[in-house]
Amino acid sequence: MSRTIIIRGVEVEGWAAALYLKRKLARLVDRVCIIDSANDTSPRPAAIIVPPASRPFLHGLGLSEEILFRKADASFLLGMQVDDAEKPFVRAWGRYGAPANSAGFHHYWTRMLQAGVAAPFDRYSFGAELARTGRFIHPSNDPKKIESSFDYGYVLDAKAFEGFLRSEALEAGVEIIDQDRQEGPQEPWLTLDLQADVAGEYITWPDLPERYGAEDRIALEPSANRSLYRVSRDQDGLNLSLSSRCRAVQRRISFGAQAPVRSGRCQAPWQGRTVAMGAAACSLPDLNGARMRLLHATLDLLTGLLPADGAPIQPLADEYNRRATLMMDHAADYEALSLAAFSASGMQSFSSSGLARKVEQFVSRGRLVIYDDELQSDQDWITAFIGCGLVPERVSPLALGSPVEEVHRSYERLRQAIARAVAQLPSQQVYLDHLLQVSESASDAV
Amino acid sequence: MKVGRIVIAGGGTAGWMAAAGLSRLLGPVGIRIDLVESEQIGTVGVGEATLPHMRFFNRTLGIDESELMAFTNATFKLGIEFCDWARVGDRYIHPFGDYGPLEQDIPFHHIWRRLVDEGRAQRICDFSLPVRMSERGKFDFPATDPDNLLSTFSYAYQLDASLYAKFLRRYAEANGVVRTEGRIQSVERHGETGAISALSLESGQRLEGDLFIDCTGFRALLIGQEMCAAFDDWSHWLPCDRAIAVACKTAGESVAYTRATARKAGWQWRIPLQHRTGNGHVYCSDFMGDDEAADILLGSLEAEAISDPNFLRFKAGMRPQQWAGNCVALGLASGFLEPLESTSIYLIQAGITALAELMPSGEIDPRDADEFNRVMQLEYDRIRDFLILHYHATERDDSPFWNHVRTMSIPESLQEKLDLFRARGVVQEYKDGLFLHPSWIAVYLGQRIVPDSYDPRADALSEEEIQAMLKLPAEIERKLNGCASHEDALNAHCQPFLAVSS
Repeated sequence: MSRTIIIRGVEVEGWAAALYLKRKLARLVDRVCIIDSANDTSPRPAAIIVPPASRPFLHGLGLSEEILFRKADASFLLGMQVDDAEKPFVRAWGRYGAPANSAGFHHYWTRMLQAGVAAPFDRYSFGAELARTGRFIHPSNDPKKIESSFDYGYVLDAKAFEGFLRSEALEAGVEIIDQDRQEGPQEPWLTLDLQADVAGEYITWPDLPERYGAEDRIALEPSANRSLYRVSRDQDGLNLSLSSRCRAVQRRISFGAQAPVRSGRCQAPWQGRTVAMGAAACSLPDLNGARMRLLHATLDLLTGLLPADGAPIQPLADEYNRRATLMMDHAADYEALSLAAFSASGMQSFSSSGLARKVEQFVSRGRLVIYDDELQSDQDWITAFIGCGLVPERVSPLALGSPVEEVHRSYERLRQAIARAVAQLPSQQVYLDHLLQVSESASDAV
Repeated sequence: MKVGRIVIAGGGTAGWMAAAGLSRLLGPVGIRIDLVESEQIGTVGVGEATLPHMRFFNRTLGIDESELMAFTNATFKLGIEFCDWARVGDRYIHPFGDYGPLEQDIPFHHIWRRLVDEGRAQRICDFSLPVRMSERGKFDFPATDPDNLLSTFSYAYQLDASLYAKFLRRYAEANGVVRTEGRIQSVERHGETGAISALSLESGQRLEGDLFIDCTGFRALLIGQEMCAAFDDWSHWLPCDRAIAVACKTAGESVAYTRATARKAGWQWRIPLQHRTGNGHVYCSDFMGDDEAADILLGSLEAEAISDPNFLRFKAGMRPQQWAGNCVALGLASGFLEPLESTSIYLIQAGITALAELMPSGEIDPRDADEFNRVMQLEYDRIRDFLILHYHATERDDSPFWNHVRTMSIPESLQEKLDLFRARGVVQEYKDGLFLHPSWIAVYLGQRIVPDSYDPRADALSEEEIQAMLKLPAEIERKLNGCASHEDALNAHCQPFLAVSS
């Protein structure tokens, strides 16, 4: 049996999926074909947020950091700045504070807060401090060093990235076909449907706005600080400012009945031999880079469940649907919590039972509930909770072993160490220029 | 009511593990811990065979492994050998470690399945270092360097559980736990809230507390009799309800694995310690009487018995409400799953960990109890499915018992897992739960569930990559040639403390 995979829908996701499958399944799949939709004029994002967990995915496509700088105008991204005059907050990737006596830092911070001696939570994070000051360095591999306590992603120029993925995919052997001319096989081995608009029966998420729209425009002024993206709220939407290396983008996310996109997911993404992925499987406003994270998680899941010749597909499809929809639902929960930080009416209650339990447990006693197939790290959730103003009412008794004054002194030392270490680091611009200069010199030498 | 005083009802493995663990974690907070037990009441002494997780518990307590092993006459444990389970004459080891390398993200058992089809491989066990280490009677400690073959396994202990309880008692009392000798006569409850307020002992002494931990074993004195927490009966899936335990002298050198041999209406354990061998016969009373069960056990001992047979009765299942009001159940009071996969001590440990994380620092909040119960339910459910698999996935038809378990209906959650593995060798993944991929693979394959097909990516591996994998068994053998025998490794490890104690 000839194994051909057909991909419907281009954009970044389509080309990334094509390249991924072509490279990953080179010896298994005969053809990877993508349906050319040159007439597709749907609005596309100008910039893409790549969270840290998706870095290995890009590198697995053969896209090194240097390539991403040169071909996709990448900049390093350390997190999000909540631009709110009342509760400004930097949600950086990586650790905040340090655990002690089997209790997480947030318990100690809550104690300090209750005693009136806590600095803002995001002042105890190396990554947040680095982001706030617009500096950058690669994380250290030495877990004893404070410089190992953060993680980073990228902002990519979407158009440049898509163009580069396209050329890489074609060079790798991905074929463009015209469906109208019936160039593809009559019965492909698998079809990946990435075309926007969630397919089939539809599940909506009660804690997310029913409809939203996202529109990007190139900003006139480049951002002074590329290490984080800023999010602010106005009356009927959110404004995101993010910057790739050379280009600043303003993204407007609007909500309301007239907004063009439904949020939600399809009930069963894998049906027969067609698997809905990307925007065809699920759609959410995406404050956190969930789009890229979900794409790579579902591609990984799919490649682990590829059908063998002659074997029944249904058990594999059922398993894919079970796990992929869990991932999407958890991503929607995280999105809902992130949006709640910008709610004009303050913190709302949540209808999703999973999220409601998470919030209940965190607020009740700082406990983190993590389910199967979560895409966010434990620290991501803690940072998001506290960034939303959700503070534990009680702390773990494991964090009560030392007097609060001692706890305060200890974490003040950490805070000062962070500030000192960050102050010595270069700005992202300088760091990036240096990296590019070094790689240019190296290639000249070759 | 703030939790300032914890009372643990019952000693034994659960009681003293709770006392030791909580005194270590909560001692600095100033919570007082009392434990009441009676020397007149025997303990079941669960968990002679353990799982690697126990090492992390001991490490948290700061316990010296050599000292513990010397004190409890422990041996190392690399896995469990299952004999006669799928067919009479079969044997396989469920190891604490991996099979083969992960090549291009393809789980090894898919590649092995291809190699079997091509006639180039036989036992998957030959690709597992801990299995071969067990079979060759060797032992070494795991390496931390991931490139070292010795990094591909973990280990646990086979120990005298009653001595482990004694060891932990010494530790806990040194950490401030106050032990009271006595039998509980009655339980006092708060008139309005229904919370337990004190335990009255036969001596007339009262032990007041804010939080009570029920470690009274099968009697479940507090959680069952007093708080009336219901018991979810799983005997329709795990029908064995009796056990006989007896110790015998050690014959030959000790081995680093526990053995579970299937019998006519259940199975028999063999746990080699330094000074004796623990034996037991777990059986279903619907299919076998006590006398016949005892005859089978005593007739198959490898050496002279050194204790009288101890007859136990139980029912598989658990209490969905393990934390009710201000009472938390640990160990046998919370539920029972037969010791087929050595999960008893693990479940106690999981309960202590969850309790420490959820320990109220102020008032007891029902949300803490809800979360504790959710976490423990998940643990029990997933272990339950794994245990049922051993019985249900059999080809044995040589006794009414095996015909029954082979044809019985099983939980939907297990049926899904089985269907998925049968279809294409996929092991269902989950985050929380004791048994992970290698364990499921060991038991699926050991029980002769061979997938109908495998990951097609395995067919796309190059001959060079396949050749590299085929070298693994020889590499394992070479590595093991440099390892000490289990007996020598054990002696060397325990010697400093044996010398002190002698």
